[in-house]
Amino acid sequence: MTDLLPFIVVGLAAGSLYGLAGVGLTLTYTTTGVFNFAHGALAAAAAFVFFTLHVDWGWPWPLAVATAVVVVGALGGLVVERVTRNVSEADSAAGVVVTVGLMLAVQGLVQWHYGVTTRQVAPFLAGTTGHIGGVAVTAQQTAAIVIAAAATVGLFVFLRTSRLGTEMRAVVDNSSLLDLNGSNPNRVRTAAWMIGSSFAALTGVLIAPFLGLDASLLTLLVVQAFGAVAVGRFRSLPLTYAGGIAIGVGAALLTKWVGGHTVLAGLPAALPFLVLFLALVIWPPPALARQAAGGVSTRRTIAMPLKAKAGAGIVTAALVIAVPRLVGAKLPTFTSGAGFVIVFVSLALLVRTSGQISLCHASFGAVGATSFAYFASSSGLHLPWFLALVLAGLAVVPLGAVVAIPAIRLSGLHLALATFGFAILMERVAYPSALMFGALGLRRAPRPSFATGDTQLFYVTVAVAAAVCGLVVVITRTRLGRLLRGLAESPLALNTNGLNVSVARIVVFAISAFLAGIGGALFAAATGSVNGHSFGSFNSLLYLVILAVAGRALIPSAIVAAVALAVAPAYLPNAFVEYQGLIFGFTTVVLVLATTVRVNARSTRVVARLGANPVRARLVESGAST
Amino acid sequence: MSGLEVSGLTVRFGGNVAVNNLSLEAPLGRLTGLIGPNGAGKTTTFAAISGLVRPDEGIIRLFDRDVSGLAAPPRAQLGLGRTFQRPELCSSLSVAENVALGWEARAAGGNPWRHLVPRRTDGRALREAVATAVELCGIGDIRERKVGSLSVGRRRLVELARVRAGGYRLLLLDEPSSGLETAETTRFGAVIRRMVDEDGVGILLVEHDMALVMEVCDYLFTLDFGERIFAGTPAATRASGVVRAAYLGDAVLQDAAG
Repeated sequence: MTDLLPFIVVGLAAGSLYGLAGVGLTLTYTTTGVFNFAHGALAAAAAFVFFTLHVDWGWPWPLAVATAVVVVGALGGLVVERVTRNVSEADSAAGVVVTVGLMLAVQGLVQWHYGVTTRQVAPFLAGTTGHIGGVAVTAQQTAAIVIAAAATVGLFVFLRTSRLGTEMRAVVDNSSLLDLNGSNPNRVRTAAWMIGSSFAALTGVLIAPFLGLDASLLTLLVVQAFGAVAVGRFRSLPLTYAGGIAIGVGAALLTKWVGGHTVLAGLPAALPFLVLFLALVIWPPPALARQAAGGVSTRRTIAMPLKAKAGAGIVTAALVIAVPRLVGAKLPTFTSGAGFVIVFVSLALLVRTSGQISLCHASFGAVGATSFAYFASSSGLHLPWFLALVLAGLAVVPLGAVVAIPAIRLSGLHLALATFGFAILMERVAYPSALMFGALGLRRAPRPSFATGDTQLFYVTVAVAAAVCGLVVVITRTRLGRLLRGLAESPLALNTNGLNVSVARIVVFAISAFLAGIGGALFAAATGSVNGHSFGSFNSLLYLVILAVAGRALIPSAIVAAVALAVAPAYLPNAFVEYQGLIFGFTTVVLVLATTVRVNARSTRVVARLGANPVRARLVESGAST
Repeated sequence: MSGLEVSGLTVRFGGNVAVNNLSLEAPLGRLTGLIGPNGAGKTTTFAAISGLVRPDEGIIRLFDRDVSGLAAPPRAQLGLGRTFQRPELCSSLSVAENVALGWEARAAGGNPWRHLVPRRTDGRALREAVATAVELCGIGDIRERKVGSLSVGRRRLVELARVRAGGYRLLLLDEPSSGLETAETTRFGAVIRRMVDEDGVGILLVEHDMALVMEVCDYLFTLDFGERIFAGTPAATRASGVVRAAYLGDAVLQDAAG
């Protein structure tokens, strides 16, 4: 027992902070219906602010802590409220896209201002507060444990006893009723966002001394609170806090037990996501009323006349054919771009037609790439190139099914969270294993024997991409596409007409995973060799926001997105690559602010005209689970 | 008896008993009415029959098969179709597309393969089913109109056409005449009567328009506070003292009689 004690102390300190972050997240989710993926980015921002004040400017630490928490909490709360204000009543997919965009924007902003290198910081509380069973407990650890506990208890009491707290609990149930009673739901939501953001900020300040200042690391660490939130079933503050502590202690103990097994080295860090995933699957939370029905925006893009479409197609085709003559030595970039068109088309199929969000498409690409390397290379099975390509796509499908099936039955948000947890698990546990990128972290993927030159390879890749685009268009125009369009507007109608709604969603997810695998494989073949960095969990988030920025039309948006991600960097300064997250995250946020006003005005009018609330209320009322 | 049989159905929402120990039958070839004042539990009964609400007690049999444990889609697959008090339609799709969607949903069911690849005969069967249903419900002139631009009355007809096209043998119609004009209501009564008499389907109808109920129904069940208070022919129901009491005075029934 005594040899476990040091790990328990470390775990308690970390777990308290996961709990603290989780409590803030649960509060804002229950109050606003928006799950804030940017929670961790706010924590990172606060940590940087704190150390600027304390270390660089020499402020005393209590003043610096208070300033960082209040400023980032209030400012962050206001920003998040404004950005998500019109999202809360819309579909869960929009909420995920917006807050992921915000997360990338805030994180990018911090990196832009402070640089990407990790900065080590000394604990701002020196010394130890005592010994437990011979184990020294540092003052910093004590502070983390005590402050987290105090803040959680304080919030709990506040919600039970104060008027604002009661309003916060009421706004969850019925915000329009609250409005009628003279409380402004927007004011209550803003308050909730500020409190929630302050909790994130406090977590960031307290956790930085243990980790060093690294924006992406800090962002991801507070994201570990997702596991705690899942344990709290998305609603219970005490359970969330307890879940955080359990995760912290569990991860610390795992660190001890897996010590010496390099294969399992990634496991402790992945534990919160494993918990998140399992909690979602084994102990599914009851859905909040307002997120029961997912669905896509029914606003249609104005269809281009057929002639214009054909014209645009011919021009695009001519340009693509001419690319090898025009771009010279940069051709390989365009070849990988064509591979990415497939990845983006697969994501667009999922998001645009079924309103579902995947935050693990990069992982699907990675599995496709590594299986392709195994199937096609001479050191592997050495199968024919095209056969290997198809098999690589098929290899992804069972994996996608395991991730998606339990979550899809719940809701769009659960799918986003499960896929996010899965992406991080893959990155930490599976990528380094011999099955995927291995100890070298690199897989070589061959070119087809009939297209060894750069130009031939480009044409082969483009041909596959065009075929995939054609397939996707066919899917959206035939039965599955029609069913999905119907599902977006009235799941209840299809459900009572005999359609198993989950099956339709799972089928489209499986197709999307299959295509993402093929896209990853083609990217691997285009670059010759791939490593895990090309498919990090961060990339999946980036794919989503780039696609959101790239427009609404299915195929053109995928092409624009692929060009922006894979081709543009070859022509733009390095800073573009470094700050892609900032650029596209920021653009997403701006786009949302610019467009929701219009969407909102329109939907209000429609609701008023029909004198009826839309499908979702009815669904919940009748207890139909979709 | 073949059709729908409900026995001992009880549905509670927390402490409220919405439906209490209800038994009723809606056989094929009969137009059965389910009436009662607001809050009597009619819509909850429909939700339980169609599989959208889990009853606390009771057995629901469909075509001599116990379906109590099944979810909504398999019940629909067995031939149970329904409409909603507020029409459940896709506003951005055309009338014909909405009608077809019900058919396709049933054809796809829970089979992943059928979501992607229709049977070879599906295209033709679908076109025929849609054409027949649209014609029967008298919405041929608005086939290509977007549902979002239609009046509530027209939407109800679209929903009716959708269940008709779906080929269901037993239909649950939830207040189909509200929002309809008088002429539309008359037409509507004639359409559902034809479906029962000519196609032999069974219909369970929840309806507030007593004139329509008394005219088209063969048999009526009356609910009050979740309990069945009367069962009998329209004439017997009109004469019943319990039913009059439940409706607080007999103005409604008198109107229907006159």
